[in-house]
Amino acid sequence: MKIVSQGWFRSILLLPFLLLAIGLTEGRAQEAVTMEGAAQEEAQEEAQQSAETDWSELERRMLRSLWLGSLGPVPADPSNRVADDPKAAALGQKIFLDTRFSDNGEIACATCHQPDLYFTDGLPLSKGIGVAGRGAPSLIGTAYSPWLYWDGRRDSHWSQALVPLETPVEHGFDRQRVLGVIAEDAGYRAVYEEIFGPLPAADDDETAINTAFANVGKALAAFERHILPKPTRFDLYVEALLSEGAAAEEAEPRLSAAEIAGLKLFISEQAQCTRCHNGPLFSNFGFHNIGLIELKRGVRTYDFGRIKGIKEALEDPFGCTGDYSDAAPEQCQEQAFVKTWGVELAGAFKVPTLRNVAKTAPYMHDGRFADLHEVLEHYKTAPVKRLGHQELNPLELTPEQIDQIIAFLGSLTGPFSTGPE
Amino acid sequence: MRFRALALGILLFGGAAEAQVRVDEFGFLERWQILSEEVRLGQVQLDRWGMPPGYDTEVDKATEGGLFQVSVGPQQEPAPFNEIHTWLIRVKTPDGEPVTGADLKIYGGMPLHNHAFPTEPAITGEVAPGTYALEGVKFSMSGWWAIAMGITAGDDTDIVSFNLVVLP
Repeated sequence: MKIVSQGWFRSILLLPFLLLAIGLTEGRAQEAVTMEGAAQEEAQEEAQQSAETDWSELERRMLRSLWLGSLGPVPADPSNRVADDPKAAALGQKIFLDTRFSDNGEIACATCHQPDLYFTDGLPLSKGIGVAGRGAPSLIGTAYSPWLYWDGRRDSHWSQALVPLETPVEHGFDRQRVLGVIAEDAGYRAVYEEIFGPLPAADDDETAINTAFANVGKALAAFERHILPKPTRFDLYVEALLSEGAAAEEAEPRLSAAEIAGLKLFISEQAQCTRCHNGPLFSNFGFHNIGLIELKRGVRTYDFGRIKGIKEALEDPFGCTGDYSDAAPEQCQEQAFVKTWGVELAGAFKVPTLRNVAKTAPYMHDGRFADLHEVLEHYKTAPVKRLGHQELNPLELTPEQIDQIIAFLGSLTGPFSTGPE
Repeated sequence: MRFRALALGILLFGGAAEAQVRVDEFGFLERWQILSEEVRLGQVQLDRWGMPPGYDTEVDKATEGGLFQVSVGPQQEPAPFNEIHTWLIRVKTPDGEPVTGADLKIYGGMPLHNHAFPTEPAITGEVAPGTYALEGVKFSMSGWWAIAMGITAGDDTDIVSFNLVVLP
């Protein structure tokens, strides 16, 4: 992150940017450059954009921040002691695909999170045993998200993974039966007990059952942490662009002219996409109200999003500070400083990743938009809804520019990994 | 249906509002609302950082009434983008003496987006004489952010607002 400022920390925070902006390679302008100076230098820089790249230094900075190469390692999950245990990941992967963990024997995690569809199901509202209230989001890169679900009603991968198992319209199962499947399958049982110790008996006390149920979630999470994006054409383009010398010439063919134009718009103030869709996963994993809530007759339910989700998360017995978490309380920083009230939480939903977005229609938490044109049209018009604080402003985008942005989004489709390389 | 929505709204907002009423004790929120309106009406043009012209980005300055000299900065450089971290607020007298035992009330966020921080940062203690830890800070969007505060020490109360331009 860069904080452009003056004063004692300007030199530390601003200097690297200034060096980029004015092309210095030595730290000699520290005292001389003010914020105004930086802006002037940058304006000059933009006026003299080099012909082969056509990107200003500020734009290059944005590109680098979105590039997959800027993604740090998967954040540790102190609430899950087996998060990085390969045996737990293998167990979790098996359970993820196993339809026996459902009331009708037909539903697995992978029913709604299908690897072939980038871990979505292509439906507006997901279908398990019944129809769920929202659509299944992609799982790619979710290990980086501090809050899970569209409304963030769970605070870890593993506590999230437990919920669908017991939701009537999803797996329709319960924790005793989940443990029963593991107990009766010799393979599952052996691996489970190797990782976590003896399975509780079916008539064991609540704490023992809950602990074992939490362990199942932790194994699922250990697998899901490995579902990560790999470089796409966009990343190869940026990588070549940022490299010195001859390799930079390889950037151009990676993206079409329309895709490059769309990328330029994407990172611009004109389109404002990177306000929320920032970082290498194209999401700040925050919660924002983009005017999706409908308060009118005929709507089935009112989905208030985050303002309800956070209440539920903090009451979850499987939460970071709960009895089944492996984290020390001081490791639960997101929970300690979470916003629990504010008009901006009403009707707010989590910003989804845009990686593979061209392949994960329909869009929004309820799948209301069938294609990306509908999405972009929503952002362009920014219709006023009646609840909460809407963050969108109408955008001035021509139909051609919308097509360019959509073309660019297509360059974010790419392979992914599901296990250690 | 409309009644049900209303009932749910009262349940949600009434209950929560009771617990945490955001009082605009120092007028920061009103100030930002007025500014937002001026921007919306085109009366104020923003600079390329999304900040109104003439706003300073000093991180060490006197409070508006001149009672204190305050500096702010992240505890560890560089401040991470989109991660929870801690800022330190140093409060001194105009003569440079640390002001200990002060009461700091923090307001902040993106003034023109009409939202506060995505987290609830809190002053968690005085880590050195006159130096206060503001924990739980997170910048989740690029653009102009403000960290504003009311400072009370003894019988003196004064306000100050810092402007930050955040880029990922």
